Amino acid sequence: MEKLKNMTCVGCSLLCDDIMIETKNGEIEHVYHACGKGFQHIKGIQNEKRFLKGKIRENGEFREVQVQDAIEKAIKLIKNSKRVMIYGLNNSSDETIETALKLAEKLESNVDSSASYYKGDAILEIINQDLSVAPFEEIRDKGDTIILWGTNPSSSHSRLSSRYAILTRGELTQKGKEDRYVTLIDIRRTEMRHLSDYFYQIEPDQDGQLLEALISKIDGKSVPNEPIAGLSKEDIDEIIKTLKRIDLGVIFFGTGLLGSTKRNLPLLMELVKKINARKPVISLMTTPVHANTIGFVKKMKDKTNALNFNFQTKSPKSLVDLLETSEVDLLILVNSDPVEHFPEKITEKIKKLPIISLASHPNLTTRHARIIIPTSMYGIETGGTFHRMDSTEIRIISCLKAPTQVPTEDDVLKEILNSL
Amino acid sequence: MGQLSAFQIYKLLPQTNCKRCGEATCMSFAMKLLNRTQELKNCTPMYEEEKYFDKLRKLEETLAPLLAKEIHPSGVSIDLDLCTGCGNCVTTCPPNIRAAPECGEGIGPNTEDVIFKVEDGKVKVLKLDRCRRYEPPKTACRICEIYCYSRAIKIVGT
Repeated sequence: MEKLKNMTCVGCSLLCDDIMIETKNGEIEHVYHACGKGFQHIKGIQNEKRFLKGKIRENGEFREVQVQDAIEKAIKLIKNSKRVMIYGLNNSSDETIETALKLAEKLESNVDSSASYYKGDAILEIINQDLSVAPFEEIRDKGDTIILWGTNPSSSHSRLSSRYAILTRGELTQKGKEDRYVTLIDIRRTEMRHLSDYFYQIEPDQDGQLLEALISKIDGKSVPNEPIAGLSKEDIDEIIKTLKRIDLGVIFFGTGLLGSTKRNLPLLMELVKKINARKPVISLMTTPVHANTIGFVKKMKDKTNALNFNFQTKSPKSLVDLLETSEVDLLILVNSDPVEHFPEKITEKIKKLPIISLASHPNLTTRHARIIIPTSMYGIETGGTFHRMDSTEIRIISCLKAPTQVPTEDDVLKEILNSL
Repeated sequence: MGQLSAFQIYKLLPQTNCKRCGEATCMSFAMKLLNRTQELKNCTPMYEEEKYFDKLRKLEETLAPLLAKEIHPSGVSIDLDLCTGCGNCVTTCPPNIRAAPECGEGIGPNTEDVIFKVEDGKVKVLKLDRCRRYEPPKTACRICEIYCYSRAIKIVGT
């Protein structure tokens, strides 16, 4: 029985690095400290559905081939295509993303990911405007206020409260939760209300009005006494009091705030900048679902200053734009499942394209792929650099060996790059 | 089940303060029934006199969840179907932190001396005898139940 301590889980962007795994003869017996979602992710390493050989689909049926044959067939397909789109990369390490961008540049192809449609704009804005982001360790030690707006980490990032930000005890917060105020602003009575001191249930689609009222009040301007976004004058005064008394706080915001209108994000930024102008006290963090969305956005910003890019016209172009004008003739997916997160109008078009999928397990998209190349999994088998939700760089060191014939994503992309 | 109060139990007792159970008053007997330092069978009048049989039946029904053999004397029970492995109980339980101080900082405990530990995506209860509700002096602690956001932890009793 072997005990592997301090492993990193890549189930979500929290990247918990205290996971302990007990193995026997190379098989995983027990996983400690990972939440339900992380456990299923780690268990997937030895799941019987895992891809261990390449697959090629001809005449509607898949047949198994050696991994090397699948890669060579993929290279042939890429050389015969003119408008390639490389999509995914949000679950991949920084090193893999760099290789993918070099490949896209060589092919003069497109690069896009789910970040374009899902919190990527918020991450890019926070980086562009140089807003402060306190690391989780500082929030644990000194954070006195947490605000959750339009996000429900209880289901998507289960250990945010227990491992990092809300219940933890630190240097100046020895009583843990009792040394912090937690405010929840949401349209539904979510599970986070059990951890919140203040819960404001607002009307759907009216976050913008509430933000405008808060900005006016911080500026000292008067605001009408009637309810705004479903909240009374007293509620809004209470929120202002919470904001003004912060010494070190975080606002976590998610799709609930970003979702419907484009104007909510600039308003939130304005509010935070106004409060931080007196003294930098508030950090802004969004809650991305994938392990390395933040790393992807950082690499894209450095190379292209956009969330998606066409390396031929040297301008931003998303997968959705290109599908509308039928400008994609090959889709290379790196650890991604677009059929799962796009609506049917888009997935109908995706299913008709030739797809090369670099994946470790079957998903809704792989059944439509032409070529499946199995790849190893990060965290336990493969190391790399990832970025946590608070933008801290985490270097993952692997401990279990991947099945011998399964290459890493980086290896596959480098082989394709070197063949061109 | 939730908050069964001593007063609810008192209303179903004889309320004569006869002291045959060994307590000075029926109210004190009710409180001790709740924290399980007294047993219902010690109130002999209820079992001997017919006028109390109805109340006795109701009392046995009310106390049944508290006395269920599957529930540990501390009253802490976990519905594993609802547990998501979030670890809130691991981080906030005071005996957990006493046994493994790193729990309080959020790091998973690597010792078996704790009450709660997350194993295979769900919470596992190890040494429930260390619960503050069970070890003397018994306190009415409900911290794990309050912070469990999937409502998997339920505490029976005060």
